[in-house]
Amino acid sequence: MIGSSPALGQYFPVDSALHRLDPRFKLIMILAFVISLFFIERVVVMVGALSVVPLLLFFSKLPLRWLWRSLRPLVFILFFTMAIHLFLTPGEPLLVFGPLQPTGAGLVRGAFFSLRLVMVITVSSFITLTTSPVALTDALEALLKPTKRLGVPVHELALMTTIALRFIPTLLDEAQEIIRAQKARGADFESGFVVKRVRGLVPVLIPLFVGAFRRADDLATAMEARGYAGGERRSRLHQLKLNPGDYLWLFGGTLVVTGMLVVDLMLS
Amino acid sequence: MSIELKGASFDYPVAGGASVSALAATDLVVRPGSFMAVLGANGSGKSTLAKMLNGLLFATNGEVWIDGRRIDRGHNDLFARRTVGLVFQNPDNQLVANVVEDDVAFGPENLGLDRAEIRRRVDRSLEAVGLPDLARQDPHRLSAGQRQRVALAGALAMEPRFLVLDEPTSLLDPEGRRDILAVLAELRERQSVGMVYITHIVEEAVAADTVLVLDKGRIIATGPPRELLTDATLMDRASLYSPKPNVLARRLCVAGLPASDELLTVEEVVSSLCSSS
Amino acid sequence: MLVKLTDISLVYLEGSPAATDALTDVSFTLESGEFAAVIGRTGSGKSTLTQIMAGLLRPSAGSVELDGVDLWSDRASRSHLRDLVGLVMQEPERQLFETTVAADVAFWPKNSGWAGPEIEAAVEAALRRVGLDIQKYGERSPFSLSGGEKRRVAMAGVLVMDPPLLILDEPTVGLDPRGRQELLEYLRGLNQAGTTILMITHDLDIVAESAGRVLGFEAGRLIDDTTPSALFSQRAKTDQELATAPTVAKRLAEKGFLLDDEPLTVDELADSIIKVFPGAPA
Repeated sequence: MIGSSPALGQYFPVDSALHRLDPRFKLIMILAFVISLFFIERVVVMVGALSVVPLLLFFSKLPLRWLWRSLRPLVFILFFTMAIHLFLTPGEPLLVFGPLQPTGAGLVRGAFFSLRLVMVITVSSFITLTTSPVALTDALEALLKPTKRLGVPVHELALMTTIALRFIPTLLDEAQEIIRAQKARGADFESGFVVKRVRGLVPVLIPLFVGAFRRADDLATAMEARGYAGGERRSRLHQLKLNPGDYLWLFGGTLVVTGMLVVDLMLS
Repeated sequence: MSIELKGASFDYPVAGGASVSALAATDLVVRPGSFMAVLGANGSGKSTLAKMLNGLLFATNGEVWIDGRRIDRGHNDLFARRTVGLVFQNPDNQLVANVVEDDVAFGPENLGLDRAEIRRRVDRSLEAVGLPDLARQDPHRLSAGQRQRVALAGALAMEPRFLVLDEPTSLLDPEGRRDILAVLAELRERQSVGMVYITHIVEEAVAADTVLVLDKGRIIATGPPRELLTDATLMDRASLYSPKPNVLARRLCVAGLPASDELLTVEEVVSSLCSSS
Repeated sequence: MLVKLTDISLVYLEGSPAATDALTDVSFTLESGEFAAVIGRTGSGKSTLTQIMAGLLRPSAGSVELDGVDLWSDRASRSHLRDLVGLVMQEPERQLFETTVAADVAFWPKNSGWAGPEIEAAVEAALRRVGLDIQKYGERSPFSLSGGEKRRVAMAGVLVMDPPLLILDEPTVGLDPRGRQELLEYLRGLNQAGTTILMITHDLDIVAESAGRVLGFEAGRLIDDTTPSALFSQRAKTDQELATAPTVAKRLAEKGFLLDDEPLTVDELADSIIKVFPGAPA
C-alpha cells in the first residue's frame, strides 16, 4: 500500500506568503541558509537557528502535524547519529555499560550534529513543501539559464523533470497492480535471501519497464501531435515575475543568514 | 479547406528490411464541419489512418492534402498538426504536465504564441470541455473521464479546424464516456469543427454524417450510418455487430411486426411499434 | 459455500489517495457455480473487494472464508487457499514478463511447486482453452503477439491452475466487439463447466446477458445483492441506467405498451414483443 504519511517534503497545496514567494528567491535563500548551517560551530547559535522553523511554519500555514508526519521516518537516522557521537566521542564517561561509555562531550556533539541534520532536512523540505513541482521546474530552468551557453540543454532538462513528475504517481500505481497480479499467481516477494528476492523482482520489473516504454512511446507521439518540435521556438504560459514583497523576503533572509554567521564568529 | 487522401497507403517497416502494409491505397475526403465515423476491429488500420490525417505518419505511396497543401515529411507537417487535432485512446499517456492548465498550454506553447493568447486559449478550451474549475488540479487526481477531457482541451487549444479522435472512450467508464460524447456533440454544434471519430463501438457511429468501415487496412464500405450499420453481412465481415436496437428491429421485421429493418436507436424502435399498435 | 465474506471493512489510513476505495461492512456468500457481476462507479470499492477475496489485502475488520477455512487464520494454509482463486486484473496483458509464452503461463504452477511434466500438461491445456496452440505459440515471445493474443496468454496464465473461483476486473475493456463476444462466450462455458465467476463490469448488457447475480457497490457499501431482472425492474422505477432490453421495455411501457415478462436480452425482448403485439402472427 502507498503509505498514509505524506512523503518527505510532499507539496502541501495552500495559499500562503511562503507559497507565493518567487520560487527562485525561495530556492536561493533556503540553500544559503542550509549551507551556512555547516559553518556554524556553536551549539547556542544552532539552537537559535532553530527559531526559523516556527517562522517558516507560520508563513507557510503548514500544520506542524504534516511536517512531523513527513519527518517521522528520519527518527531512526537521528537516533543513529546521536548514538555514534554519544559513545564514540572521547572524554569523561558519564556511565559505564561494559564496553559502551557515553561521554558528556559526546552528548553535546551528538545533540549538535543531530540538530544540524534536523535543521538541514526540515528547512530544505520547505522548498518542496511550499513550491508546486511546476514552479520548481520553472525556477530551476531560470536559475540554470546562464549555463545554456555552456551547452547545457536547460529547456529539455526542465521538460524532462516535468514529465517525470507527471508520470511518477502513474507508474507507482502500475507497479502496485503488477505486484498484486503476480502475487495472485503465487509470486513470493517476502521470503528468501538476497539472490532469491532480487530474482523475485523480475516478474514486476519487466512488465513495469515494458509498460513505461509503451507509455513513453505514446507520450512522444502525443507531444508531436501537439506540435512539439524541440524547445527553441516555444513560449511559456507561466513566466516568473518578481513582486515587491519578494525583495522584502530577500532582505529578511539575508539578515537571518548573516546575523547567524556573525554571532557564531563572535562567540568562537 | 478539407483533408484529402489520394491513394495514400502506409507500410510499417519490420525486421529484415521487409515491410507490412497497415493501410492499403486509400481515397478519402473529410469536409470542413462534417462528422465522419471510422469503424473497424482491432488491427484494421484505424490508428494508422488517424496518424496520417495529422502528419504524424506520412504516406508510403500516394498523397495527403490538407487545405490545398501537400503533407509530407518535413513539408507542411507542422501545418498539419496545427490544423488537425488528435486525441488518443489512453488519457494517461498523452498528458505532459502535472497541472491541468499547464498541460492544455503545451500545444500553444509549442506554437510560440504570446502569453495572453496562450491564456485565452487555455481558458476557452477548458470552458469548452466543462473543466474550468479544475485548471490548477493535478491530472493524476482526476477520473479517467476528466483526464480524457483535459486531453481534448489540449487538442482544442491548438484551435484546429479538424479533430481526429482515436477510440477516445474505449477505456472509460459509462459516466466518462457520456461526458466525452456530450462535449463532442456540443463542439460539433457550436464550433463547426470537422470530426473524424474512430471507434469499434458501433452505437457511437449512429450520429455520424458518413461512416467508413475498415477491415485489414482497406476501406470496405463508405456511406450513411443507416445504410452501413444495418448491413449485417458487412458488419460481420468487419468483425463488428449492428447496434442492438437494429438487431431487435430486424427480428421484429422478420416476424411481420411494423418495424423497419433500418431502425438504429431505441427511440426509433419504440415509436415505430407504438404508432401502429 | 465457496467464499464467505463477513462484515468486511477496510479503512485506508486517512489522507491516502485510495481513501475513496475503502469498504464498509460487506457481507455475502458466493456459492460454487455462481456467475456474479459486480457493478458500481469507479472508486466504489470494487477493486478492493477483489483483492480482499484473492487474499492480497487484509481487511481491517471481518473475516474471509474460502472453502470453509478462514483465510487469515494461519499463514501455512494461506498459500494453498490462494490457489483456489484466480485473479485477472484489468488489461491483464500488462503482467506478461517471461521470454516465452509457455514460460509465462507456467509461472503460477511453478510457484506452487508443481512438477515439470505436470506443469507442461497444464500449460498446454490452458493455452488450448483460450484458443492458442502450444506448438504455434509456446516458444514465441509474449511481446511479439497482437493485443488480443496477449490478453489470451495472460488469461491462460491464470486459468492454468484451474482455480475454482475466477475473479475478473473488467475483462472486456479495450477489446473489439468480436473479441468481447468471444471472451464472454468462453466465460459462460467455463461457468457451465463448474467454475465460479465474479466479474467487475461497467457494461449492463453483460450483466443482463451473462450474470445470475449482481452485487452493486456504492461508496464502499454493498447496496444491491440481487438478480439482474430484479435489479433492472427496481432501477426502471427511477431514471438509472439500464441494459438495452430493459430500456426498450421501459420506454414501451411508458407509451402504454406492456410486456408480460421482464426480458433481459435482445432475443428475449423480441420474443416478448412478438407475443403480445396485437395481431401478430402466432
